[in-house]
This record gives sequence, structure tokens and C-alpha cells, in this order.
Amino acid sequence: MQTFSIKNGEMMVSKEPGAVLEACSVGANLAVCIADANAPVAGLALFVLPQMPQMPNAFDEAQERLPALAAMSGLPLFFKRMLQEGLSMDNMKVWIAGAACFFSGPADLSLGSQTYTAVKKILEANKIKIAGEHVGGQFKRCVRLVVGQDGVQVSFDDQEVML
Amino acid sequence: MSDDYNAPDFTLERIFEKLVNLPTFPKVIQKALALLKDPNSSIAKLAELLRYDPAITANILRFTNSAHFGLAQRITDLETALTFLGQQHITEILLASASLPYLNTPIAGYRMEPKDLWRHSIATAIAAETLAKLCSYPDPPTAFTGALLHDIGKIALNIFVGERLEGIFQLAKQEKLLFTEAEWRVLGGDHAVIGAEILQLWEFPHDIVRAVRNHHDPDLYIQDTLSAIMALANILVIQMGIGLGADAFRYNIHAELLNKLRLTRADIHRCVAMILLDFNRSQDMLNLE
Repeated sequence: MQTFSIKNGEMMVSKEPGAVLEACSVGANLAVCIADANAPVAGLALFVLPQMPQMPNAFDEAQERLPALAAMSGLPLFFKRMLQEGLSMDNMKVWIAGAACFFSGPADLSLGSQTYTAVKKILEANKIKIAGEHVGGQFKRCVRLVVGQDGVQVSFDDQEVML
Repeated sequence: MSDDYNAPDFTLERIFEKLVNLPTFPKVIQKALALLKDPNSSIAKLAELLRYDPAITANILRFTNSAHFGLAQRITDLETALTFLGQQHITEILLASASLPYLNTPIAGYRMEPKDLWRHSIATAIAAETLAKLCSYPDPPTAFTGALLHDIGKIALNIFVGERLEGIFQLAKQEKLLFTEAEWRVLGGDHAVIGAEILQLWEFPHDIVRAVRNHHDPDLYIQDTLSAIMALANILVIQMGIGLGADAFRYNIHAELLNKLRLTRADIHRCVAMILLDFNRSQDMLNLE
């Protein structure tokens, strides 16, 4: 079965039952996984920042090449694509994983915490519940989602959990 | 935890003795970098030096003819390509070509797959150059060079104490130590100290050696601008999850790091976006995928 690798700032939606969507370079970035409990449609987006930065010379390029760069602009787009592919809001499940952090450091450098807060804010504003989350910690993660199957697999530091 | 980890030993001294056995950094690259900095030199002299190295010539021509530049006509001549690229791009290609044999290797003890260290190093180099420009640091190419080689000490540790690296990871994990603390407990030094020693042997400039030495030590990197740039570049690339090893987030960040470089949260967000765009371009051009 086909495996799709999702990198920083990318999002992928699949309707192919059994297809694997995975993000194996999850650090402080945040993987948001969405699936329909009753239909074979699922998606994974890997957000890096809370909001799009001001970058006069490269804003359009960043939006085009990295649609999931920022949670505030990318998450609504991700939901829109999922809905276009047949996601039902009533059967929707959402999982999040990532947002690793250093032992200590200034809040301005805590990108994971900033992105996590932005994602939670959007979900709460739209009354969307999180089915499971695995965030924080001082380790990298690999996040896997299989289209048509319930749950998200998270691997980290020789361990594995199902959300 | 075994007492072995707490017993003082002379591992670091033994590693230093063995460093002379490492293959040296290619002299042709050192000479080319010197020519690039020499105001009395010329592209013709540089082409004459590089034309006998097929790998470097191929990389320069491939980069020049990549989709990034969108040239209407293919360039097949080295001197024309060098003229077209300019000093900064030439420096980057030379360093990337020379570093590949060292960096493109699995490092089992740090849980790094082949290409992880290479990808991490390229991304950190791009990040350091981006930050250097943003901070008006006078020599962005030096920031690029140092950052490209900042983790070279991991390679030496992998070669000389390979199996003991797993013990460092387990010690750090079980006792929730900073990774450098665990390295010091097991080896009597850390990969930054060993990396600096290698670069000194390879006769790299002192400011690069110092920045590599300091890049995980908040008390040291906060005192020196190039060290602070390299530390921050590494921190941003770790957060982006690019080529992470087992040490990943097991470090502290100095609370004043952004103030030292006069950067704001918005600057950091802009930098991260620029680094990602440039890194993706570099992957296309260097075939990092």
C-alpha cells in the first residue's frame, strides 16, 4: 500500500483505503491528523508556526509551497480540503502530536508551544474536540495514520502509542 | 545505572590521539576557499584549480543548470558557471561537496540514519547564514561554514566509541540529563569539544572553531555573536525536526539568546519560513531526498 511522507508545512488528504500518511520528522512542529470515522478519508498536516510571518518578498511563495506552514491560515485550509474530499463534520476525529520542547528556554523560542496554542484555539472556536494528543517532551516523533483505520500511531524514543 | 558512567576515564584523551587518523578535509577546497577570499585572485584561477576534480565540477554544473536558476541555455563550461554563480553560491557548493563524505553516514549511537546528519547540517548552515544576514553579522559565509560542520564531532565519536554512544543516550533518558552532561559523564567531553578539536586539526579559522566548541554551552555562546548565531540556528533546525538525533531537545537554551542577537519573536517566525523555503530548494538541487 502506498505511503505518503508529509514534511514541514505540507498537508496531504487521501481517500485510498489502506494508504499510510506519515510524518517522521516531528520535532517542535505539530502534526494534525483528521479522519472520518465512517468513511475512508483522512489527512495529515505538519504545522511549523502559529501564524504566517510578514515576509514581503516571499509571502506568496511560502503560502503556495508551504500551505501548512502556519496554523492560523493552514488549519482552515486543511479542513476545507478534507470537507471537499468527503469528510463529514459529524463523524470527524482529530488527533495532534508533536510540539516537543527543550528542557528550558525563552517563550519566544518555544515554537511548539506557540503552534499548539494556535491549533487549540482554532479547534475550540469551532467546537471541535481532540480525540487524542501526544505533545511536549524532549524527543522527536514519527506519526502514522492509515486511511480507513481508527487511531494514530506515534513512535518516540523506542516506544509506540496509539492515540 | 552502572558505576561505569560515573567513573572518570581517559576516553576523551584517547579520542584526541586518534583524530589524526581521520581523513583530512580536502586541500583543494581549502585552497579554493582561500582564492575566493583573495581580492587579487580571479575566476579563471579558481576554474584552473577545480577543473581537475570531476565531482566538484559536476556539482557546480548541476547546480548552475538546476531549475532554481531557470536558464534558457545549458551551461557546460566550468569557468562560465563559476562566473554566473558568484562567490556565495560557489562557497556553499564547495563546502557541501567536501562535507558529504563525512556527513552522509549513519550514526547509530545518536540514532541517526544515513543523510540525517547531512540534512541537519545543510539546514543549520542555511539557518546560520539567514540569521547572520538578519543580525547584520559581517561575514555570513563564515556562519554558513561553521554551522555546516557544527556536529562533525558526532562522526568522530561514532567511529571511535560507537558502541558506548548507546550508553550516553540511555543515561540521558533515564536520568533526564542534558545530552552534553551525559556525554561528559561517559566520555569526559562532548561532541562539540571533539568537533572543535577536529576543525583545529584541519586548520579552520579560530572563530569557527570557537563557535563549534560553544554551540551547546549557553554560558559560552551568549558571549560571542558567531557562537550565538550557530547555537540559535541549531535550535531552530532541531525545532523543525530536520535530521534529528537522539540528543534532539535534551538541551537548555539561554534565556537571553534572542536579546543577544537583537531578534524578536516575529524575526524568528520569518527566519523559520525563509529557512524552510531555502532548505527545500537545496534538497532539490543537492539531491538530498
